[in-house]
Amino acid sequence: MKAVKYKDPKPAVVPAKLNLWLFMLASSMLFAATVSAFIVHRPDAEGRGAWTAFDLPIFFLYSTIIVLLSSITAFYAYKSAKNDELSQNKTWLLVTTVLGTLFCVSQYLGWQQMVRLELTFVNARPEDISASYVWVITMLHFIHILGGIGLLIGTWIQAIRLNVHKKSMTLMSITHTYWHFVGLLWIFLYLFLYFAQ
Amino acid sequence: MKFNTLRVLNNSLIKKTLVLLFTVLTPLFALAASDVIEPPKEFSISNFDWVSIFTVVLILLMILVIARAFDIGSLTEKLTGKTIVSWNNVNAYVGIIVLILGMIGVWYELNYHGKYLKLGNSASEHGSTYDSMFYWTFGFTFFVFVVTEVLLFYFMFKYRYNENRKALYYFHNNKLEVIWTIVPTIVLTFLVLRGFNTWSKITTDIPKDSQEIEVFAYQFGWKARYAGEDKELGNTNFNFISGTNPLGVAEDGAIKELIVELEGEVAKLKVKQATAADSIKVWKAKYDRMVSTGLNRTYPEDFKAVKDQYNDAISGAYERQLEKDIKRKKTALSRIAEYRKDKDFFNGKASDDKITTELVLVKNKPYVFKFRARDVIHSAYMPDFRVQMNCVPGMPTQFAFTPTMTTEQAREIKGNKEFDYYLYCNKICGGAHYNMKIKVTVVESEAEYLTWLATQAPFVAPALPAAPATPSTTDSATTTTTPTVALK
Amino acid sequence: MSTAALHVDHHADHHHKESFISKYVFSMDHKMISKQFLITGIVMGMVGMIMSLLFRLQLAWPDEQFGILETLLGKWAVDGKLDPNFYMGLVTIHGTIMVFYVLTAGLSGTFSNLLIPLQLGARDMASPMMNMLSYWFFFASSVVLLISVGVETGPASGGWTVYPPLSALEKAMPGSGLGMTLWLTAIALFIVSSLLGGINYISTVLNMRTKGMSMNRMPLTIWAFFFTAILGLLSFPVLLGAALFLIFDRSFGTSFYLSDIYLEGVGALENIGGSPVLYQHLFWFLGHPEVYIILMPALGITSEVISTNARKPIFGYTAMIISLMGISFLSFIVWGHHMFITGMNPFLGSVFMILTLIIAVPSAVKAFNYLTTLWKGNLRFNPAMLFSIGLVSFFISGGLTGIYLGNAALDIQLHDSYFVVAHFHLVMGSAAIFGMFAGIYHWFPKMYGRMMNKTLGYFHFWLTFITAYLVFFPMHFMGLAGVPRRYYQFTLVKEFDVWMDVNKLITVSAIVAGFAQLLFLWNFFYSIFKGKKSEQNPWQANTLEWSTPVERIHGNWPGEIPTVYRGPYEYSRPDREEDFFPQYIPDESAPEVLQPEETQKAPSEKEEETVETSVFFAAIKRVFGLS
Repeated sequence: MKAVKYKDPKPAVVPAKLNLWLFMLASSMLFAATVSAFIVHRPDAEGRGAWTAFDLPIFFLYSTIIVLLSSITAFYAYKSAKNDELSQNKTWLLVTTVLGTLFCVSQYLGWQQMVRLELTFVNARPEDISASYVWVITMLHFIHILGGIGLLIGTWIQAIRLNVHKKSMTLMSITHTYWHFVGLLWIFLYLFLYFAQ
Repeated sequence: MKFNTLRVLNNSLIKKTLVLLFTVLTPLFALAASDVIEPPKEFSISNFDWVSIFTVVLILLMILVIARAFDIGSLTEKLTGKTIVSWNNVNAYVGIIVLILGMIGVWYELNYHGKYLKLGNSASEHGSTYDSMFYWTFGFTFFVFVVTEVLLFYFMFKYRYNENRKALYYFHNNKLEVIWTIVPTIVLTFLVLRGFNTWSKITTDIPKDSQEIEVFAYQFGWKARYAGEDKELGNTNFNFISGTNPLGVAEDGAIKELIVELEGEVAKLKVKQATAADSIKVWKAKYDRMVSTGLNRTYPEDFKAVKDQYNDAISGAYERQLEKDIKRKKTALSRIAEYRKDKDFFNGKASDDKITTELVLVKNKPYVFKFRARDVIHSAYMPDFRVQMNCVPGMPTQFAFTPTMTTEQAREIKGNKEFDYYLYCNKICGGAHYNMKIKVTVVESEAEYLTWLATQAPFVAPALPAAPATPSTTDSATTTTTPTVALK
Repeated sequence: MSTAALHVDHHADHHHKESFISKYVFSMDHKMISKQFLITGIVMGMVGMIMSLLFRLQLAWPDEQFGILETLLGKWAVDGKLDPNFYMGLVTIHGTIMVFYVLTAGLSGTFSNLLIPLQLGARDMASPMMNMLSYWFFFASSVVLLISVGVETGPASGGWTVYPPLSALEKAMPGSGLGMTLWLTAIALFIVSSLLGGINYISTVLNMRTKGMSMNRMPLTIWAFFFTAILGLLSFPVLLGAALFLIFDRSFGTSFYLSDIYLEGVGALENIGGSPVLYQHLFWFLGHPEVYIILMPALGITSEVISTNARKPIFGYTAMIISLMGISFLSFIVWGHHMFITGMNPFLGSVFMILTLIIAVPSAVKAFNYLTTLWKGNLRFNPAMLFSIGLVSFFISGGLTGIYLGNAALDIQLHDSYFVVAHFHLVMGSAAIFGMFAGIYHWFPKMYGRMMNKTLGYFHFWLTFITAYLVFFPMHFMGLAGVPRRYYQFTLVKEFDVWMDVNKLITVSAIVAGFAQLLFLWNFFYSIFKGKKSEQNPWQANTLEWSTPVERIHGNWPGEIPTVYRGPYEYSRPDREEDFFPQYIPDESAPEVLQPEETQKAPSEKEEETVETSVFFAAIKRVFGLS
């Protein structure tokens, strides 16, 4: 196919990337809303004895470590794709996906631990509003992680089809950015819940 | 060109005939319509019948035809180069007329309805501050309103299109823009400062010797609670609410009754739970009977109820509901038991509290209204006193004010012998929201108030059995609210 | 291969298999999507308006029986008298429809989609697929909301703000059952739609401007849409959070919003510790920016229309942008003024009061700038111009009463009274709807290639303008007399009797206004098919959208996207004979080049030169028979 005589102006940023950033902004607002609801609600409920501070399940700490590790592997996946090291790229993608799945497992175990401590989502005891918040926040984040894993698998499939390389980085860089975002989000949420509890 | 001209002429002939027909016929139709139906004494939509609807449709059609006619007109204008109607000028003139009529309307409205406004003659102490605040704001905004609207329509008229003129190429003027940023800022600063003072005074200045009255909102009505002999209101909790204890005050006798009642209900529910399997059979039998006898078609509503219950029963929803109810009642019981251990909470101060169905206040005596709500958010609104505060379940609120005008005085000023102050609900709270009010009476002297208070039964009267306070000074206005509320 | 070429390829593929479904139903073309938004918006608007007429009938003649109501509503109007619960439902759904479906999606969805690519010189939105999804989520949401009106227990009926506990407890009100569930579903879908749209708008504005279209050459419409999209992007997720908590409270039994509740017929509930006021905080964090999400596109449209029809540069372009920016920023920190009397901390109340009154300053600047734009202009009263002037009038009269309501002290008395109803119906209801009408009349030629009938437009405008004032102006007085809003009837309070004549006036005016909208509907739908064919630039406007051919083609410009040489408001330049100077005409060009035929011809000449055209343009030619 021959090129057209005139060219449309090229967008400064790949639209999909910009869209991703805007999406991340919007979902940060969702977390900002839940987190500020938590902050505003706490003194109010505490005044009426309807708030128990409790230690976060240890598995959430493991999740944090896993998510940190996966961010590193995601970075290597990105870097290898950029350097056209395709086999390494696939490996790193796979490792990141596995770590992501491990994160999900760890979250699940964490929730089980909470259930065992009777810190259920629906407050069996009135004092457990704090638990409800932890559930909502972690669950919302979990949905984001699932999206991230979907992206990782998608990128991996594309990598197998040799569609991820130096000159075709859009999908890879989107996955990379998004994965860092959910990772950072989790670290922030964990620290917040850890110190605010 | 010729072809076009011809077509226009042809069309216009038909259309002109149509215009003529409609313009002539519509008034005839209207006249005919007015003959056919007796003109209603007062205009009302329910008197709207097909003839009037037909007239309206005709009017709309007329407008359509007129519009078409003018289109043809504008085409001829283009062809002949002569202007028949300059819509631009018409619009400019209409604008001026609308402005003048509008301003007359505003003036008329200010005079005509101005006297009904709750401004001036405030019935509370902070109300006069409020009113003066309002007048200042009104002064500024009304001035701006008149000036800007007049300018808008004046410019519209003055600078209407003229081929021979070119608009002024005028991009910006920093000085001007700074001026109209600064001036509103100054005015607003003034208003903010005043507002801030007024607001702080209203919300935070609570005289120490204020009398506390609890105002309790529920779907759909109000109750007030006055302290008895001990001058102190007893504690309350929503778990204590029952038919005999509508406000849920901490009074041991009533609570004991409630416990018995709740335990009875739990027992009943447990029996139901045990026989749930049988009840499924019962519902099934009923359902089958209705289907087989064809009653389901004769009484579709009854059949629907049976079907719902049957479905609930077989899907397990019925049992789950029973379990939930039992759990809820047990939670209530355990919470009540927990509270009863607390002797400071059950201090006996609630026994002589008086629960009333109207509010009686003394002129020039400071009050703090403590608001509570039972089920959903309500809002206590007393426009005559410039008082409003939301009543939120689980979040007590309050409003302090001093009434300064008795009901009698207000009646005199308004020249209305039947006038009464009311406290309305002003937050959407359900179907009967519009009818949720309680009478407020302001009396001249403490003595009058005490006489009234003495007629109100205390929560636990030594001689009387515990019963919900029955209004002794019942009048028609207050009782209208009570029938909608069965407190059991 | 450049992304632009990729882009072109994509369109080409699309065009190959353009069927009825891909062209009209699941279209990815921004112009078609904008039309879809507009027509859905108009349909929803009609529904909302009819609802308002129904409850206005109840308010004006509470004791009369309207047989027609029973025919229409069945069990909700037994004996022709509206049921109080259904009255509440009507009020709620009227508010929801008007705020979200007509004035958010119908207004900003329509014109953002239409104008952002056209006025910026882009072939389409940044992500046409997301754009299509945005519309279909909106459509699904509208359908769910309309279905909710028909459910047996009635639609959601806790007011459009659906405050819990009323909306959270199924037993508190019939409408809080299935109707409320559907309401929440509809709103969740709406939020998704609005986020998809918003992301797209921002991304397009930032990224897809044509050569020479720097930010400070963007028309004010685009600036307004841009800020609107940002507001939506930042505030709708918060509403989603609030709705999620509400859903959990309703369906799962958590107590985020519920505490200390005893319910008639149920007994004391278990929930303790929830905070109903928390919902209000979260809701109004969206709710207040939402007001500006509604209003700002209308203001943007007005700026464009007034400048074009006054044949005069908009006065204070930069000030307009700064004030939009100021309004956007401030709108996020003033939500508390909706909650002065919820028992919030008085000090917090004062802070919100100060911030709220500051927002009056940029609004005042805007109003004065509009006035100055009119001053010494050469005003052409096209229907679009009239509606814009109407907007300015409403914006002033409605905006001024905001100064009362933003003042915490004055709000004590006025909160939830008819004064509030009057205020927001003028400043965001009427003003925004007038902006929408202005936009429709102005860009109708761009959308359908035909003109709307001007004379009908004049009738439509004057009837609507006068009746809108007749409906909403007297409400101020009712509010000042302490008449609460959302009351089913006023005859039970003797003091409100004096307002019965006003209520009747309002209802009659509303009915007349309703009939006036029939004129618009007729005009709109008739002109789509039978209207006079439009010229390329019927209003002699400067902006880029008028450089596209009258036939609306996929990709907007048949040839190269024009380059922009100057700002959008160069009207009546003293050095030029013509009273306009389009953005896409180079400076050195002689005035003759302005002839629309010239611009139209240019591409076809080019086509002969370009032997190897892309598949995209070949397809275009096939479809539109240009070759």
